[in-house]
Formats: sequence, C-alpha cells, structure tokens
Amino acid sequence: MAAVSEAVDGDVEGRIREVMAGVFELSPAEIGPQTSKDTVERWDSLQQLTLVISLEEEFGIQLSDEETASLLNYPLIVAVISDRIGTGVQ
Amino acid sequence: MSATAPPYDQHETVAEILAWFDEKPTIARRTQAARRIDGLQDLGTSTLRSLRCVVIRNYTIEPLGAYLTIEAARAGLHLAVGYSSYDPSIEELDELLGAAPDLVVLALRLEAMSSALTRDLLANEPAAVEALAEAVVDRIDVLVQGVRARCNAMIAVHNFVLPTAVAGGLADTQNPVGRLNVARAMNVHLVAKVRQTGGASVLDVDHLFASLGYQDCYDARGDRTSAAPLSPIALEALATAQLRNLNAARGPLVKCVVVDCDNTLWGGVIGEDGLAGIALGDSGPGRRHQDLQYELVNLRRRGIALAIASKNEVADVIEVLTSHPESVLRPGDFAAMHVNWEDKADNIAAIAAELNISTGHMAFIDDDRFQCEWVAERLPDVRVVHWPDDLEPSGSLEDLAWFDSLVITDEDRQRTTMYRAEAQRRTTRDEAMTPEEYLRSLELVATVGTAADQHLPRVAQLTQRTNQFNLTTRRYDMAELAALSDDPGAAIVWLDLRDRFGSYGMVGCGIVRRDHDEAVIDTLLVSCRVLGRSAEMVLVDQLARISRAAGATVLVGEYVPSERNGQVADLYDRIGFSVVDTDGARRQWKWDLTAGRPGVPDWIQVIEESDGSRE
Repeated sequence: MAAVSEAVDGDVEGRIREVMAGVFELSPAEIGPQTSKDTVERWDSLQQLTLVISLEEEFGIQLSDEETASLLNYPLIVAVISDRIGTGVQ
Repeated sequence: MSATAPPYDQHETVAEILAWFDEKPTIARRTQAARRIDGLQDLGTSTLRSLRCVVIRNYTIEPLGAYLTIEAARAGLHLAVGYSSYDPSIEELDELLGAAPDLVVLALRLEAMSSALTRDLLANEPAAVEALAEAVVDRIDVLVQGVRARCNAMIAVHNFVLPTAVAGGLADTQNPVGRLNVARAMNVHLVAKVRQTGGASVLDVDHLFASLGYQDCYDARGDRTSAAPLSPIALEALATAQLRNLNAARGPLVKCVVVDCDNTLWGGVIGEDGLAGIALGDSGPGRRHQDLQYELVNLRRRGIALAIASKNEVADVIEVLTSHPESVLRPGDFAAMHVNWEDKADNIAAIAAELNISTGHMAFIDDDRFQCEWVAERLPDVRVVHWPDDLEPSGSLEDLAWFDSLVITDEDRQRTTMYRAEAQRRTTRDEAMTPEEYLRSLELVATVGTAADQHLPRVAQLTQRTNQFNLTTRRYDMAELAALSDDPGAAIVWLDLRDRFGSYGMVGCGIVRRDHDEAVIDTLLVSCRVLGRSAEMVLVDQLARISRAAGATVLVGEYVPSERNGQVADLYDRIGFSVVDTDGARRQWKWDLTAGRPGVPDWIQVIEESDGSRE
C-alpha cells in the first residue's frame, strides 16, 4: 500500500528522489534533471522548508544557510548532498 | 517496484496510512501520510470526524499542519486548518472565521510582536517596559475577544516561549524587567486575561518546550530563512499538546483509578513485612511509592475517584493508610476499598457498580504483570497500567493524558465525599423499605436557578459527560453556553440536589429555547448519580414555569436516541406530555402550559434561587 517504494540504502540519488517524491507528491521515477522549483507546482517556500529538513533527516546532516538556499533543482540537490556525504562512497 | 504508483490510493484506510507512517516515522513520510489522510478526507472515504481550525499566527507555523493531521487522526479527528496573515488584526477576523471554526489557535511569538520587548529590550528605560508588556498582552486579549464575538469555537492561546540566549546576559535575570522576567510576567498576565473569556484557555507552550529543552525546540536556521522557528521535536510535541488541549474540553477519559497496594502504594508486602518493614517515604526505595501517592491524592483533589483493589487483609491496609507516618493517602481519600482474596477483575467490576462509574471510565494500576494482563483480558474497557514500566517519558501518571480537564469545578473537589455519601445511601436502601419510603427517608431538597456565568463551567461539564439520562445528548462548551445565556429567547436552568447524607452538587440542567408561543426543551439531563430521585421532574417543572412566564403556551419535549439513553425514551410519556410527532426514533411531545405546570412529587422540596437570574 505504500505509494513510494524504499530505495536501496547507499543509492544517494534514489534516496534523494524518495524524499523529493514524498515532499512534492510525485513518483520517484518522475524526478530527474528537469525537476526544479520552476517546474514543480508544489515547490513553494513551505515545501522548500520541508525538503530541507527531510533531506537532513534522511542523510543525518545539518545543512548551512548557503547550502539550503542553493537547493533549487534536482541536479543541485544531488551535488550538495553528494558533496556533504562524499560522492557516491558509502 | 511501485515507482509509478499514484500519489495516493483512495481505497486505503486511515489506519493503514498511520501504520505505514509509524513503521518509519520520517519527516518525508509524515508529509506524505498527512497528505494522503487529507486526500481521503476530501474524497469523503475517511471515518475521521472533521473539525475546522483557524490558526492566528505571526510566524511560519504551517509545518505543524502535517503533525496535527497525524495526531488528530490517531484521536479519530481531522483538522482542516486555515491560517491568518503574518500580522493578524481584528479586521481580518470576519473573513478568517467566516466558516464557523471549531477551534481557533492563537500562536503569536513575542519576537514578532515586539522587538522592544525582545532583541531591543535594553534600549528601553526600565520604567517603560511594563507598559509595553501590558500593551502586547492586551493586543492578544483584543484578538481573543474578537474571536469570541464572532464564533463559538474553542480558543487555545499559546503563551510566550522564553528565548535560549538573552541580550542582557547574566544580569538579565537579576532585573525584574529583564527579557526573561518580563516574558514570565506576561505569561501570568495572559492567563489572567484569557480565563475571562468563555471557552478560551492558554496552552503552555513555554512549559512544553522547557520540558523538552529550549535548544532542541528551536530551529535557528528555519527562523532565519523562513520565519519558521520550531524544530521537528517542537512541532511533534506541540501537535500532541494541541490535541490534548482539544480533548480536555470534553473532560477526563478516566473518572476512577483503582490501585493495588503491595509494591504499588508502598514497597514490600504489608502482610509479611509489617508496618515498619514496608518502603514508603521521601527518600530511598520508598520515594517512588510516595511520589505515586502524591500523584493519586492530587487526582482525588481534581475530582478523580480513587479506589483500592488489593489481595490483603483489610485491617493491614487500613493500618498503613491510618498509621504510617509517610503515607500521603488516608482512608478518606478512597471512594471504595475492595480488600479481599477474590479475583481482581471481579473487585474492579464491583467498584464500578458501587460508584456507578462504567468500566470504560476506569483505570487500574498494579505492579504485577499477571494481574494487569488478567484484568485487561477480563475487563477490556478498563485502562490498565503496569506500574511503573508503562509510564513514559516522565514516570508521572500525567504521561497517560487520561485525566485532563481545562477547569476544576467545586463538584470535582467534593467528588470523593459524594461517592462515599452514595455508598451510605445504598446501605440505607438495602434496609427493607418501599421505593417511596426510601425516597421520603432521603429528605431531598432541590435548589434550582437560571444559570449565570459562575454556573456555566459545571453546566458545560454536565452536557459533555452525561450519557444515560440525557434526552437529546447535545454537547455544549462554555462559549456556546455563554451565547445561550445571553440570548433572551433561551434559558439555562441548573439543579443542585442534597439529602440528609449530604450534597450531590449540581447534578442536572435544562435548556429551553422559545419561539413565539412555543418553548422547546433543547436539553434535559440528570447525572447518573441521582437517577430515580425525580430531579428531572423538578427541571421540567421549572422549564415550564420560565416558559409560561415568558409568554409561551406550549412546552415541547423531544427525545433524540443515542447508544446510551434508552432509559429516557418514554420520559415525557411518563410525565404526562402528549405525543405530537415521530420522526424515526426521534420523537416530540407537547405540554399545554395554559393548563398549568407538570408539578413535582411531594417527597422533594424545591428552593428557587433568584440570585444569578438574568431577569
């Protein structure tokens, strides 16, 4: 019954897509390079806030104000998160 | 792989969504679960009772929404939440409250209301600070009264949360008008103001966050970037507290606590260890037991009945309660004691019958897991506490949230005395007498009057708690009653009953609404403690008197069936009203007021109190 399947641990992009799917009411498969604040209707400042705390919780990190401000589309999110946790290395 | 699954499935249930969330309670899942519950509510396929809620706020509190949705769903409720602007004003209220909300929350941060009382406090002349503080509390009070004037919603006002860091440093605390002391004083002032408005209460967010830790509750980055200062920990606690506040308006879930003795009220076994050998005191192993005793005596003072169910010799138990110097509880604190070697479940059922409290309103506390499981199985309605393991996180009975009420009335404080008087009455009744002889022997005196402000808390409590002898089961909160008592076309009558054994307190009320020459009995109820005393006759007779005096010629009584009120289905027939209308199970009767009043039996004396009458 879960609308969103759980990604395999360690698949950073998969985990980001899961979080984004939950926050923006999308399916993970819909999320890709084109997914941004401009293309997702629900991506307002409130959902931005939820996105940030959800990502922090998922990856066990604390993002800075600058990092938070740069999370405006999927590629940037992947870049910021990968940077913080060490690219692809799990 | 369900990657392309739709966002939500209209066939799922709220319970399934909650189970899915609880399996991995992350923020992302919470957001999604809340949205799916909202979706079910929109589709009309959920079983949650829908309430409208308006939040008057000056900061980004929307993240609370998902937390509220989840906690409300656990309580069988759904809150449709609307928000004010970030600078709420009285002008905004008409539009904001247009849809007749059930709950209005005022969540106003001091930081966003007044920089002069927060970050810029040190710029003030000390003498000016008090006036500034008073002005801020007055602004909130104006909003509270503005809400009250526009709707009957229950109002919850958040108090001010103390800051983590203070500009004045250590000297701040030494200053009576420093940042911390001013906020504390404002919180006291806020309570004094808010309590004057019916149906309004303060939610102590400051105490809530202090208990959890101010640092953990504050999201500095959220505050900087989005004016959203509450951390996930704060949001979760606040949602729980908000629901608890909402439920408390309906009175406590538990009316009677039944406790075990050995290893619960004291450490050790009195029958083996003796009075000097048991552990009970303010230090050492007896401390935990004495703490429990203090909690129980305070529940008794709040109107929760206490009872003992213990496998012991009764003389041993009485000796501890009477003679142990460290025992807080005394025999008089208990409404019933069943100390014997019988089955505990049977004893609890007997206590329920003796006190006339349903087992669904009882809790049982025991240290023995076997007894707990046994009682839970035999009496599934009884709320069982395996003490002390079940009390999380603080170890206090308050963790259970079973005893909440927003006001404590005089009846609450006297309740144990009343329960005990009731047990004495039962002894009298057991002596051979006809029912009428018994009623005459009681020397019943009913005092009746029209409700003024001081009566409304208890009247509200009666409408919310009375199930059996309640003709229409209409629940009213303080705000609704205040509106009714101001309505010249309506009257609220209360009834106070006493007999030679003592007072029962205010045990009945009636509400009549007049429409030209017809007066309709909107509410007629009598507490189950005084069934069979004809108190209802006194109420109906009074409603007839008031309606006649106001010019009505017909008094209409109605019966709206509920699961519990079958015993009064034919009440108006018995009094002598004539049936006029049957709409399914709901029925109406008429009494011709031009022919007189129904009257009362001669074994009950009636005193009409004119104080508090609004004429």
